[in-house]
Amino acid sequence: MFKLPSFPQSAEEEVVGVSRRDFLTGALKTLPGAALFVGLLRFSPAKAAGQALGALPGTDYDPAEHLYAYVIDINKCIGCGRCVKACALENKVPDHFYRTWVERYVVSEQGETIIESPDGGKNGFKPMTPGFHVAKAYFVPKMCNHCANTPCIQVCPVGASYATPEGVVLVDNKRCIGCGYCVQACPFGSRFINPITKTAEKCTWCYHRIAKGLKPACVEACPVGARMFGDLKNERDPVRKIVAQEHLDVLQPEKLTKPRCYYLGFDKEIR
Amino acid sequence: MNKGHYRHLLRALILVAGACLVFFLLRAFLIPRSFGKYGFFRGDNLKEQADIPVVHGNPQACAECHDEQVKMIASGPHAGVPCQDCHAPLTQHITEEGIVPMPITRSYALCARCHQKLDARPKTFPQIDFQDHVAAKGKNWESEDICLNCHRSHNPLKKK
Amino acid sequence: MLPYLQYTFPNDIHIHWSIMIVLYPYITGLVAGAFIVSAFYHVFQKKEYQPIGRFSLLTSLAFLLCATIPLLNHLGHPERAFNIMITPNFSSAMAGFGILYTLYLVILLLEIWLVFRPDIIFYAKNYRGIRALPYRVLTLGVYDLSEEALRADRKAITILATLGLPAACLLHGYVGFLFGAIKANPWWSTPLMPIIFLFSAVVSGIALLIILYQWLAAFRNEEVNQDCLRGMARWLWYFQIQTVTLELLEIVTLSYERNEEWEIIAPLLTHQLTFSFISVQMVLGSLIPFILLMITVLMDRYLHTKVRNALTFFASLLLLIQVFAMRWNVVIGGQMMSKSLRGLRDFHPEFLAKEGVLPAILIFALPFLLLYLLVKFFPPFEKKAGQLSA
Repeated sequence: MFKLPSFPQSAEEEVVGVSRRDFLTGALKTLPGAALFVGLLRFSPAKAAGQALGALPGTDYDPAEHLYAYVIDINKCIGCGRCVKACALENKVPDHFYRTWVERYVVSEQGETIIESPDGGKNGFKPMTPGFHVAKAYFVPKMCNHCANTPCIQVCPVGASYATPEGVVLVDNKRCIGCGYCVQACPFGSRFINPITKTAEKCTWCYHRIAKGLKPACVEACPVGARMFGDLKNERDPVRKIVAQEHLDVLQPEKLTKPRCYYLGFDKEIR
Repeated sequence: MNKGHYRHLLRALILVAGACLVFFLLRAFLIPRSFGKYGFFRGDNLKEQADIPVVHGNPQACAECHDEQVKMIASGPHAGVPCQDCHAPLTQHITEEGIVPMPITRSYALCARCHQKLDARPKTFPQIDFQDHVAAKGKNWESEDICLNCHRSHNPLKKK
Repeated sequence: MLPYLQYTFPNDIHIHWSIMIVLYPYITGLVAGAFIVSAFYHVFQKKEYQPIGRFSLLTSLAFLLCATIPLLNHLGHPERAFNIMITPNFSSAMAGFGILYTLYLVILLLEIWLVFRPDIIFYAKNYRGIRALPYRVLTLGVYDLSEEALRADRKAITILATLGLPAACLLHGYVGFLFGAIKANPWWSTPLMPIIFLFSAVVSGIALLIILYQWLAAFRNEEVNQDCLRGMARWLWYFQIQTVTLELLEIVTLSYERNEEWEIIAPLLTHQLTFSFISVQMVLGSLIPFILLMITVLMDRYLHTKVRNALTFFASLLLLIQVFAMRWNVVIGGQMMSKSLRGLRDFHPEFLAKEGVLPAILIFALPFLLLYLLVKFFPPFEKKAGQLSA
């Protein structure tokens, strides 16, 4: 606990010869300075940023030892929607809100495009009749991109949205005031205000799982390996190799948010 | 000029300064202790987030009791399908009250989620038009567990 | 609707920023506008605005005190509202709210206190018992109304009003910036946004004062000071032209550039905002008052007092609606398009919900009630009080 500036207990005796008025003026001069010091310099994020703080208390998980990345292979996704379902169960996501979702793109030879995501793809997809000859079609899983340069953290007025040392973007739902500015600022539609907690909510890459050495629920649920999650600081991680060697795309690169979710098998229709 | 005529202005200024002082003092107490530990956020939240209990268990955990089934799946084309996809999250099976039977879905709807023919599915992925596939064989299309008549869910290409 | 315009992101079907967030910039706009009118008199020493010089300050205060209510009603956790001042994240424009609001509130309170100090002292001396108590407290124990003290007050008022001008502009311009600096939303993202907000704030402020001034004059059975009204009508016309020009400029640029986003903004304007943008904001709220004010300004010397009063009154009423429509079209309009830029959604405000129409009406009625009380407490039109005590 920080200490308030302590004045000598026997101030009156010590300042013999100094009138009460002078003492008060003195106090008036020093107190605001002290208060400003205590109030403004209580935290210094700059100091902490690069500093190793060790494992989270009570665990052997050290955030500073990891840097995560997520790879989605559009060519592999079969649109079963198990990932959306698993996410909803794992994170108790309220109905009609989505931390992750799957979109279906159906494109004609003339470039007409139908995009849909019924209930976020949670219950899978049904056969459809697009009304044109289908030239190509594919599923695109989407989620929070955990951008390195993210507008949602930038606009949070109270420091409730933050990036962890391992590159995960989280929301502190005990400090979030529920203003919704981050929801507006996210270009990907990844955030929402939870109607029960009234705070901003988003994909956490299942921080509670990865901190225990597991993979995010959506990655575990994918039966075809279209979703991959890995640690860029782990030299043997296959995701590290993909990120380093493959031709990758990110969503809305023109926004320069530097997503940490990468796509394989991208198409120009995807936004 | 006589200083006395500024008395009211001085008093107003002292009031404003006092209010600022009170604000900064109060604020100093209201900033959470761990704020700024890792960055501009409440550091304790990391631990809180990490401590949320998991719902889906470790995929290796199933083999501890169901070694036979896990081996069977691993030997067939469903090797990549996680147990908790078709059943339920492990914490619904192993609960604080003890072991609760896993729900088992036999409906073709579950199979259709992955194997109904869709344009958007990768061409190499095994998929069928359910109506054709079943009606062509003269089977009752309405029957819920129609798929399991011929296929084993844990190793679907191995004939029953 | 065009076939490719059917897809909204699944989370984008909810409109988070409701009528409350429309109301908030509307109210702060009135705050800034009313203060700028008071500055005509207190900073720029335009004597013709003397009749409303003090009243406009009270108007600004009444609306400022209510400006946070729609915000608090909108917040998911209003009890945590002070987090914005306890741990303000200064990379966010919104974190500046606490500072800007407090700064402006202090400036405004001090200025009003100084402007009304002779009255305060008069009431403190002449009232008896409990009625005198608030005034006695407000004197801060100083009953000095000497020429030197009053001269010091006047100097302080000028300094405060001069400081208050940028503070009021910041408080409101910042709201425009909140929207204008969101790159995720092409309907918002333009550096013109703070300026448009500011100009339309001045329009709404002048319009509100024209209405309240005429209304209060009728209520008090007094003549409307025509010099004052003429001046305000001229400023109103000027600022209205500026505002509408900027509003149209933004859309013309978007449409001429034909960026990717125009494909969604064009249907937004022609499908979702046909009524509120084209009919209300542009025709009813801009074209008609433009003509009314043009008559008032250009044909001034042919106008009968009653005609001038009526013309400015109706033009002001329409402009108040215009500014509200503008806030609506920005706040709600911007959320009607999904960030997929491929789909639009509807907004159906509920009447009784927490952020519904009825709470909005009640919240907007509050500053008027407060203004009534303030006018009772600090009668802004009484001259004799100050003279008597002096």
